[in-house]
Amino acid sequence: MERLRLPAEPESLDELMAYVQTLSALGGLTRTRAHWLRLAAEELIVNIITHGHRDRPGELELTGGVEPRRVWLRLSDAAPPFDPTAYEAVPDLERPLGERRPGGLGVYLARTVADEVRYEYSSGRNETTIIMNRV
Amino acid sequence: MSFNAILTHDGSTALITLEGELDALTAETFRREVERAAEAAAELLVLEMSQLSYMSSAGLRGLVFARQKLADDVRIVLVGANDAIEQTIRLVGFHHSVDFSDAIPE
Repeated sequence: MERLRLPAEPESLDELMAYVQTLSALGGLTRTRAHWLRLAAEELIVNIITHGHRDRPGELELTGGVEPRRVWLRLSDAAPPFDPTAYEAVPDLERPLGERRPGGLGVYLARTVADEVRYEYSSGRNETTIIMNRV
Repeated sequence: MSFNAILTHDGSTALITLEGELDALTAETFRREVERAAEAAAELLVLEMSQLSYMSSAGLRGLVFARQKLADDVRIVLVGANDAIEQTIRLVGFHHSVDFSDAIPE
């Protein structure tokens, strides 16, 4: 799919997520697998907007592609380096809700529901790729 | 995205009917209704989810908020959650703190 580039701010979220849903449709993902791609994408995009670009304006780029066996979605941003695949803050899953602090769930969820999340930092940009198998 | 959260009361039960897509942009609406339910001192909070198609971690944070706002002895029952939403809730261990049901409790 043609690259989509938008300001890294909450107002862009609807348009970014519409791109993800178009990609799921192009790839013929099942309803459930499309749900997981959407969830992984929202969590990682929101993370970039609310943490990476909290105090500095910038742009977020999405590129997506369909291959015979898989669909991939690449998120590219120029925020400080953040590697979601190295982020070890797994929420304390057995702790009762009443004792939990909010947050810390999004990156964990994205990594759990996607088939694969890849990351590299290249030419001053975070390049995060979500991969979903088509079958 | 479209999302609706509507709070109604039946005796000591607070019922919030959720419709549409609960994401980072719409979660505040859910939190507001949870807050109103907590103020009403209900004994049971039912979240009716059969028309909810999508929920991200923003919705999960709403559940944490609900659990923390309500008294410890107030049950939270989720009715009609779709498979992906129920699985998301289980993935993060929240099923220890809420109950799933196919029907609104009597």
